[in-house]
Amino acid sequence: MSTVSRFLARCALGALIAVGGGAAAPRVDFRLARADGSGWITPQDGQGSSVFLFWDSACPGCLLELADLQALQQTVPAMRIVLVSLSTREDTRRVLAQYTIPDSTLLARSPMNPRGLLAQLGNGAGALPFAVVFSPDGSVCVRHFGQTTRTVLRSAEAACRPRV
Amino acid sequence: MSCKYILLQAASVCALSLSAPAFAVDGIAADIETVTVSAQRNFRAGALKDDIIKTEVLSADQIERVGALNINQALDNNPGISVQVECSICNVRNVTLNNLPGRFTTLTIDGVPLFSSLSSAYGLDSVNVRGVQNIEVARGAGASLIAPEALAGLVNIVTRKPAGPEMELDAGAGEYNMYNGTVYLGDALDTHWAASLTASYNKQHGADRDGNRVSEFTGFTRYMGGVALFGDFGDTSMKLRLDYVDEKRGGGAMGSDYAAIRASDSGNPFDWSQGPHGSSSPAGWYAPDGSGFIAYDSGRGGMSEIIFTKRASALGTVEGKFSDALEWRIAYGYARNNQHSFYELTRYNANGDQVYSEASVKYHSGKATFTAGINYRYEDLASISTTPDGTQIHGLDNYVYRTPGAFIEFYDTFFADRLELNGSVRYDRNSTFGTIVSPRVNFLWHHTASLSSRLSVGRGYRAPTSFFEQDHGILDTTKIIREINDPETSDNLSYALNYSDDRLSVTASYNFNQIKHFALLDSSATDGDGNAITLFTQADHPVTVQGLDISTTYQLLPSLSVTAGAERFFYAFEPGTLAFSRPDWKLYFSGDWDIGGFDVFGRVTVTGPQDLKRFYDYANNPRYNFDGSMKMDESPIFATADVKVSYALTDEVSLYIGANNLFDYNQADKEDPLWIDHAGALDVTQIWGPLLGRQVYGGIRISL
Repeated sequence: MSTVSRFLARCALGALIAVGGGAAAPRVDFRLARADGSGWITPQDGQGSSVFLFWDSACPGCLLELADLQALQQTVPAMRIVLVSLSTREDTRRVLAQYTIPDSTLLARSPMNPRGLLAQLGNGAGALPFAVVFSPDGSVCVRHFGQTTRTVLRSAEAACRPRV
Repeated sequence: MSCKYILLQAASVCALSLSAPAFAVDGIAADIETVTVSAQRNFRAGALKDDIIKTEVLSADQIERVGALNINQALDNNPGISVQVECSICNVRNVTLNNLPGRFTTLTIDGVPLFSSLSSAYGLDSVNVRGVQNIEVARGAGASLIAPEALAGLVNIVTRKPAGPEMELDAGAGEYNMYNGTVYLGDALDTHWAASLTASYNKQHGADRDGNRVSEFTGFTRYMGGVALFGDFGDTSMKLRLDYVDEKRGGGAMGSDYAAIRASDSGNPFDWSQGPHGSSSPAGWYAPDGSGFIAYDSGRGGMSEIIFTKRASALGTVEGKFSDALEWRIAYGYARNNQHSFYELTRYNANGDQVYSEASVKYHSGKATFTAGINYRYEDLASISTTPDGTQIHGLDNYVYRTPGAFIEFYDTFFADRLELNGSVRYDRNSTFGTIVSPRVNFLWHHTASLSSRLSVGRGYRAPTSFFEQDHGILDTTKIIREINDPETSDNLSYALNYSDDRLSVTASYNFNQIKHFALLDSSATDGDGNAITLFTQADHPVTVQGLDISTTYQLLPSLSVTAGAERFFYAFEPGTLAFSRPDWKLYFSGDWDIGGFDVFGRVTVTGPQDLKRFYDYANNPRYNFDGSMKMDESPIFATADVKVSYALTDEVSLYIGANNLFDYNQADKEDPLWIDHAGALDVTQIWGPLLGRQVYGGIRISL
């Protein structure tokens, strides 16, 4: 494994970051339009925590996430999953038609300029796949770079449970 | 680029992991997770591509939303970008960036420049935008490392790579006998290869608004086709693209019976009394200098321009890695352009070849990258003209340019990645103009996660050619005397401030462009024997254009985004340089409402007054209407509106109806684009507004 690869591997492990542990969790207030234009989606919506999966049709890891989406939702049934496409509308429609999207999964449109929101969420380079888990109060709990697997989600959900 | 961002992000992630409790997850192996830089393809106006150089992106969504069939239609009506029509008879169009002449805009496909002055004159109407991923626009000299002649900036078309089976069919029809049909097919052939096919047919009749039987909008029939092949072998990827265009256009005398029009060289089929300030006689006009009545007697051909264009091009790129730190790229392109033209009884036939080749390496060291490369450009033109009396003139504007060049580029970040710096220098040796050095430097400062500044300073150069650039058409001239000693050079400074969050995206910019040794074509000169000759010279003083522009897009409702933009320009130039009028200011408004199965797009563009007296140099060459009255000193403020409504019958099938220039504003209602000089000689270039009125169209689109 080359030096660069080892470097990336270490960063991949560190890429799943729990934000909190006593410090004030950052809040990034934003709203995204639902894909059908019927309303807004915010991190504070819903009862429990939520995970925003940012994806693009040219991102292989993102497509693996979409293929595993049903299993992901079953892993964390109490967690709201939001898919945020950074692709064109045509590509989004075409790609999503290839996968089974659970009814509970919300589809959101890309922001005006994805870079701005991604940078606010800690992804200034626009790397994908990228996921952000929000606590029930809407604060950023976990950021994850790379494919979001069931293991990642399970652990993230546990980390984002409100402390009693 | 992608490697840079991966390392950049990995570094920042690692930095975060040091300062916050890292979360160890059971069961996660220490494998590399594949990360990809987001394509960020779904941009809206006001947003910038994530590049140091200010790059605006028009996505495939935006292209389809405005109903664009070619690159001119896709780019028009955006702040800082416009399409300028330079002839009311043949409708030659150029893309102007920062309101600089269109010849200073370089068009590339996948980063390969293959458009010469010959191919750009009418060719941009034939650049298909179906099968396109997006269009990138970078304004300012030095915007492109490999195209230093882009004095105003660069337009790059990115070919779409299919990820699976895809098909798009679009068929539409509209007023003025407009018919359009486009098919796009794409598929991944196996795990390594993908391919796409694009074919388009466009047809439209000409339009005569003012009833004088001379068209203001040129009719055309156009066939465009292309094939693209993509290969992906892990560290090595390749792309091959082949394109072919066949276009016939004709303006002036109405109709597409081109052979008959060309053969008609006597009589008067027109009515010169029609239109604003028409002549007192349908048979001709009185010369403003009092020398008498000029009866038109040159038939349909004498007022017609018929251009047949064929173009074939091939380009390919291969990119790979020697190691994780060292990448390489090879690019090659070839284009052949053939043009058979008929300009008011003069025939002009030209062939042009272009060759481009490039080899470069990119080395990564930490966050820094170093790029070095060489490239070679070849461009030629060979023409034969035949004057109305049958005299043949060989090589009137022939040229051959060979330009080997080398370049180096450096990139690094500072101050915890808040500052990104990119610098480069090119060395070119043009076969006519000798050694030329083009430096540039770009800064990107991240004020916050949402706010950034970009500053670019650069120089570019262009080897001028005489074909159609300075004066549309070289008519009735026997020779061109070249008094060109230096290439045209441009010094550019641009600053852009960009803010973007979840709902708002704003970009405001200032651009300074100064062109030295501006090439001029004077087709009114004569030699000692009184024969018409053309002088190809250079301006004594620089041409300076400064511009301010702002573009804002706001997601007002979940289903509605609105955009507003404005631009203001300041010009300093000597007569004869900026030879076509430009507005001082423009305003842009658009809205995109998308809910349920409906998608409604509408835009309004308001064009400020244009100083016609100054741009058209009335002081040295006054312009008159056919009734002897003076042409307008200043054009009026006017607004045009476009709207398109689509309805999705299913996820795959949608119907659409639209109208361009909804309120039917046409310059020909206010002022004829035709004009006569003091002696009564006719020309076709008094252009400041739309020359086609409202056009309603509809169609069906199938996307699988």
